[in-house]
Order: sequence, then structure tokens, then C-alpha cells
Amino acid sequence: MTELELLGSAGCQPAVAGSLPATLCASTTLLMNVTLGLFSAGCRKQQAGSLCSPEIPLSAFDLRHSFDLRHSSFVILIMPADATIIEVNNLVRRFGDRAVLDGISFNVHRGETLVIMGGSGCGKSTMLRHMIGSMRPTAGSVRLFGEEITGMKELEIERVRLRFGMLFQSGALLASLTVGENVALPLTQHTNKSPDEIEQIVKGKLEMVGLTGFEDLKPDEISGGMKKRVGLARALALDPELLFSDEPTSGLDPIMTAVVDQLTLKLTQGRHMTAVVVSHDMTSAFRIATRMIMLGHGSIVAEGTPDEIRNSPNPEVQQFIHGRADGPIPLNVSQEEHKDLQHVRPRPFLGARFRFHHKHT
Amino acid sequence: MKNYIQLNLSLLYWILIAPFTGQFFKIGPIFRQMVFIGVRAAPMVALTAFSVGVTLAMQAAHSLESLGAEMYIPDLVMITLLREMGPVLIAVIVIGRSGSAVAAELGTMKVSEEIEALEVMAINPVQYLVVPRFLAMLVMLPALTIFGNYIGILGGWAVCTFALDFNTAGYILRALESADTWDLYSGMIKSVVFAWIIITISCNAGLNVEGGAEGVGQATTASVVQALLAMLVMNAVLTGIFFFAA
Repeated sequence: MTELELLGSAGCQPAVAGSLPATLCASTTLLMNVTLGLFSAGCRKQQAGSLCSPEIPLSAFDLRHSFDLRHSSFVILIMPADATIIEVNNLVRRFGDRAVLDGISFNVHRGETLVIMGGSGCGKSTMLRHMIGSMRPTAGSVRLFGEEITGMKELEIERVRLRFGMLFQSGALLASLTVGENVALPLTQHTNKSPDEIEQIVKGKLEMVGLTGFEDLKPDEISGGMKKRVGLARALALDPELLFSDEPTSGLDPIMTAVVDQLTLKLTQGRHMTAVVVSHDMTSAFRIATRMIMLGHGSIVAEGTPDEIRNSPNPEVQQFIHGRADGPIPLNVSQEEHKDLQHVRPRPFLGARFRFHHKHT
Repeated sequence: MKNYIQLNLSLLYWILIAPFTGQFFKIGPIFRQMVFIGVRAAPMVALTAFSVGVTLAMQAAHSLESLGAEMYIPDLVMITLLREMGPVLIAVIVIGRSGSAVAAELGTMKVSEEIEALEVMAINPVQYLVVPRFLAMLVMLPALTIFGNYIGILGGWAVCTFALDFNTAGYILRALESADTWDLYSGMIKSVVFAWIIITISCNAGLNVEGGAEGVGQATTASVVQALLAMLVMNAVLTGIFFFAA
């Protein structure tokens, strides 16, 4: 893997890629931080990654950084522009005798927008929860940013989680905090930014989702669609490299759906961000996707570009994307299947942690 | 029980070990919880403690009058409040008011995916949610117990002064003579142990809610019952250790 991780002790530079001056600037910054980073890494007994091959030109890479100011360190990443961000290999998840996910494999590359679709209870949310490290698979592996997360302890996975954002279906806003405090939460917890800087970032993120001036309202004072947009603003607060979205446009009016779609397209343009979207909204899915996967029967029914999916001869795909009641996809999830899905148990915390028992369908 | 032990170990990690690795807990949330758990419970605690003080004094007067030993009423009020009634009754109030509220709040957060959202944001729920409540309870329950003791003694004084032939100075001197510092300290130790029991049981119940609103209701009830039983059993154990085995 061509990835360089350098742990530095202070200061950060913006992500740069492409142009010669920017590359030179980045190289200088990089050299300075190599020294500082290796010194700091040695002091803190943290592992510095392998240096990239010298014959590969820097212009072939995206230079990125991610912050971990809680530990007074930052990470510079140099990855190939088409680097694989997510690798799912032969993923199996069983509940009792039933395999909700049965040997699923796919990759997500930098800058892609992968839409995962499928009928209710087909395992989309279970798939998503394996990708964010909330659940452990029965077999198989999930690699995020080149790191195997299925065997990671909780404190290790927190480091990976700082690099992605997640938009929950319900928004999952903290009811005790205001809209502004919700968006500011990742910033106050993981950075040392001043309150003024955080306020500016919060305003900017809320403006992106069309909620300027809503900072002081509580989540129960705004509509479901607004909550979802605040959830999106919160997911983007740390400028993540990867965004997971669970039904990002459900409950939104057509105009706001278009706004959220445009935002997703804007963020993924120029390969700045990668997105994995679980969606039932076919209009939105075809608008934002660069690749689509349809799940069914615990496996991948179809995979391809939006055009390939649209022209797929598979009758299940055609039934799903056209929303027909008649077709090969069963209308009802059996009682047994439903019961299985009610016992999704995400991973426990590292070491001395308590166990959560989630219920998701 | 396994979840409860894991929660306790996790708490110890975040309070005792994590600060040395640069992961400090924030002070602001602790003060917010102190206001909720302690300051807002003060009127209820005061009313309860005053009633208990009055009741103790009246019962003591009724029993001791026949023996001609009314002068010992302040002794009885003082010792009973400091050693037993103060810590136990105030813990009962806090279980009913704050313990149940904590269980319900965390349970609601669990079913509405808020806790999962915290995890995905790399924010540990124990560090963010449990540690402030735990530290606030550990400070405020003993503080409420001291406050309740004062108010209870005031209740005894009210009965002795207005219904019996005590004067204020006599009541205070007699009360102070009867109790020693260990009576106060034993009550304080009890209230610290009760605080630990109450908040960990409440948080554990809330964080392990399953189901929707029904699950939250069941967890809240379970937290109150379990905390009450655990607190009363622990009170018997501590009384045995402090005043019987010694």
C-alpha cells in the first residue's frame, strides 16, 4: 500500500494536490513534518507508516491530513488519487442460522459516491454498521483507509472514526444540545479551536445545508427534515474524507433533496470526499451515484454504474428501481427474518466497556 | 451484572487513567450535572429532612417522656440523623428524583441512536455522558446529606423549642455533646458509597435499554428498585462495619 502516515507535533497545513507550486509547498511541509513527526512518533511509541516509493511522482497523490488534537498530533496522508478507501472482503453476518450478509465483497475508491440500495430488511443498515465499526462480522473483513477495523479495539477504532462522518437516518441529534452545539460537538471534542473559530465553522456548515440562523434552536423545535440537515452539517464538521449516509433524503422535500444531492456532488467533486449512501430514493440515488450496489438475499444482486443499473436485465433490479409491486422481490419479510434483525448487536467497547444492544431493521 | 462491572471499570479508566494520557474530562458538564442532581434537589431534600427531624423529635418525646428523659431528645435526633436517617433518606430522595431521571435520559438517548452517534463521532459515551454524572453525584449526595442533616436538626429544634420546654442554647449544646465527629464521617462515607451505587446502577440501566419507550420505562423502574435495594443492603453492611464489628 502506498500510504505515508507521519505523526507531527504541531501546526497543520491545508490539503494540497495537483499543481507544481502546491506540490513543492507540500513537499517542504512534508519534509519538516517528517522530522518532527518521526521524533514525536518515536517519543510517543506510535508507528509511522512506510515511506512511499521514490519513483512515484508526488502529483500522483492526494496529500491530506487529519487531526487528532486530543493527542496533540496530526496525520499527513499521501495516497494514490484512486486509492481504495473501503475494502469489504467476503463479509458474513449471521443472526442465528440466517445470514443477513452472506459473503459480500466490494471496494470503494477515493472520490466515489457508492449508493447501496435494496428492499427493507435486506441488510443495508447492517452493512453500513459493519463499515463504521459498530458491529463485528461473523466472518470476513472490512478495511477502512487501509486499516482492518473488524478486529480493532474501541480506542483504536476511534482514531479511524475521526476520519469519517456519519449521517443517521433520524439525524440522531443530541436532544439536550442546541442545533449549533450539536454541529460544534465534534469540534469541541476533537480539536483545540477557539470558540470563535468553532462558531464560524458551525455557521458555515449550517449555511451549507440551508439552516443559517437556526443555531440556538433545540432539535425538538425543528422539523424531521431539518434535523437530518443538521445531522449532515454535524457529519461534515471535521471535514471528513469519507461520509456515510443512511437515507439522507428521506423526509426531505424535493427542493431540499436536490440541495442535499448537490452538496454531496460538490463534496465528492475533485475526489475530495468519498461517500457511501444507503438510499431508497431512486431519483436521488441516480443523481449522486458514481457506482451502485443492490443488496438482496444476503448478497449483491447487482453492481455497476447508474447507467448499468438502469439498463440491468435483472428483474429484481428493474422491479426495485421502477417501484413495481409485482415482481421477484418478496413483499414481506418473514416473522423469523424480522426477529433476527431485531437482535443486531454491535461490538462492545474496548476492555472495560459495556455492551449495547441495538435494534435496527 | 457483567455490564455493570464493565461500566464501573470503564469509569475508573476514564477518571483515573485517561487524564494521564491526555484525555481530560470537561468541567462544564460536571457543574451542569451538579446543578441538576444537587441544587435542584435541595428544596425536596430540605422538606424531607425537616419532616424527619420533626418526626424523630416527636417520637423521642413520646417515648422518653414516660421515663423522664426528655433531655435526651436532641441526642436521639442528632445521632439518628447523622448516622442513619440523613444518608439513607436523602439517598432515597436522590434515587427517586435524579437516579430515575438519569436512567430515563440515557435510555431515551440509546433508543434514539444518540449514543451510537456519539460513538461514530469517536466520542466515548462513558467519558461524555457517565463521567460528569458520576462525579457530580459523588460530590452532591454528601453535600445534600450535610444540608439535610442541618435541616433535620432544625426540625428537632422546632419541636423541642415550640412544643417542649427546651431553649435554643440548651438544644444545641445537648445535640453537640451527644455526637462525635465519627458520627458525621460515617454518614459521609455512607453517602459517598450510596452515590456510587445510585449513579452506576442508573447509568447502567439507561445505557442497556432495549426496545422503545416501553424499554425506557422498564429500565427506569428497574434502576429505582435496584438502586434502593442495593443502597439499603449496603447501609446495613456499612452500619455493621462502622458500629457493630468495630
